[in-house]
Amino acid sequence: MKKANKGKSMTVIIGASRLGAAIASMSSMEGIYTSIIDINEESFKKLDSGYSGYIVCGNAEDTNVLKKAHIDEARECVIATSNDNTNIFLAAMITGLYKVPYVIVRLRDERKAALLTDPRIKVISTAMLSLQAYKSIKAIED
Amino acid sequence: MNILICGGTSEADYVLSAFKKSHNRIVVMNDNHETADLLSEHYDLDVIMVDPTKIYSFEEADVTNFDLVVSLLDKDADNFVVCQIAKQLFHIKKAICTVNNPNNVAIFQRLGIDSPISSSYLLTQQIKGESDVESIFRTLSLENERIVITEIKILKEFPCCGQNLIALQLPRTGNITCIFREPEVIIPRGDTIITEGDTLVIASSPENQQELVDYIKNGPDDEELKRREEEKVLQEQEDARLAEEALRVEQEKENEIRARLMKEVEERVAKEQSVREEVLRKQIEAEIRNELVQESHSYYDDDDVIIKKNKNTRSTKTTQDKIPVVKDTTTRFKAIRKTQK
Repeated sequence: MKKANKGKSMTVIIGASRLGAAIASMSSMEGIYTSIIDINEESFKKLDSGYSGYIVCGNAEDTNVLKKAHIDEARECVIATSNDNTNIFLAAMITGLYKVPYVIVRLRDERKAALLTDPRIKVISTAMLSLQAYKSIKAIED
Repeated sequence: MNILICGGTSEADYVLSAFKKSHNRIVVMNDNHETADLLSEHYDLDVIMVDPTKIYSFEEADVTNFDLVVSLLDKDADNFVVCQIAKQLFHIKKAICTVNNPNNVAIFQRLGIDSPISSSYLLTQQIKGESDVESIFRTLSLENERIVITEIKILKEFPCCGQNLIALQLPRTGNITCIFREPEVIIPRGDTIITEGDTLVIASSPENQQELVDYIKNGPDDEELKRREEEKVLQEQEDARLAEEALRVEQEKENEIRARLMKEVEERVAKEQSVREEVLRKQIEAEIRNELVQESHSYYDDDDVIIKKNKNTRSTKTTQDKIPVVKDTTTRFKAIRKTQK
């Protein structure tokens, strides 16, 4: 398989959810080499028409699929499938098997963040963010 | 033992039946209604109807510091999360779970799950074993495919049929652990003879399995036979050399002993000789002394005459004549007294 480029400068996104697709589109537009993995072909429709990165259809738990998406050259990996448990397992697996410097995980249940102990992992908790957004709206209301 | 069982249907049932008998405290988490009803009825215990992948489920179940968690959910990622919550947040000591993707067995172990069990892997092994066309050999894997146990049935045409284990010279990569000779199980030794109809049970690593099976079926190949011939020749040469060496050493020893004995004999002869000489010399001395003594007797016999005798003369003739020799010793003393007057 051809290497996309030398060194680690790719962004790999797992899960073409709304968040995943949005991050992929943004990343591609900024000129970063990007690849996105989703188990479902249909999900890639969410991607921007201007998306110019790689698209890999398959189960990210399979290391062959990860290799296809150039995980070895990834600087950043964003894990945003719709299932928290899958996200946790993938985060643990990827930090365990590959030397990706930045791993970002989206979790709905922020308590499960305690299970991810690797310092490379950053957790985005949608519930918390939504709560903060609510607070700021509330502040404006008053 | 305190055990937590999460999920599963028939698997949970089976695990429960195994553990309920011995004195264990078992907590069951299952969010499927039917399964929960079935289990609680059958085993007369409380089933907590919660999603085991949620942290609050564990809080509700009060399972901190349990000994074992068994996770039997359908998805590998779910089992992973259950085991992680159990081990990291609730300090449960050991985690066992089923794993669908056999590749995940290694990954799970690396991530700290004590015993990930790949059901599909075991299943494929079973299918492989059953569908083997020749069905003369079946395989069992242990230690996650690092050890294979091969069963192979011995047919009449195999060259090893009738050989004993020493003669068989199975490659060192395998070992005949036992022989099933219905209805007995034999633990073989070097002199055990392989007979038609035996089932050999061979332990080896997976890479070497085919080589061993081929060896049993076809015997050693030409290369191997050649190598053995060469080895035999070398061995014979070596034996000959050692025999020669041994013989030489024997000879040397014998010579040494012989030399030593000779020396001893010589010494003894010399000793005896000198002893004999010594004895003879003493005899002669004694004789001389006797003679001298006898001669001196003759002096004292005569009243007035003391004659100095020359010690060196042996003859009984004296310088003076007519001195009769006395043979009776009693008179000698008498004579001595006389002269001392």
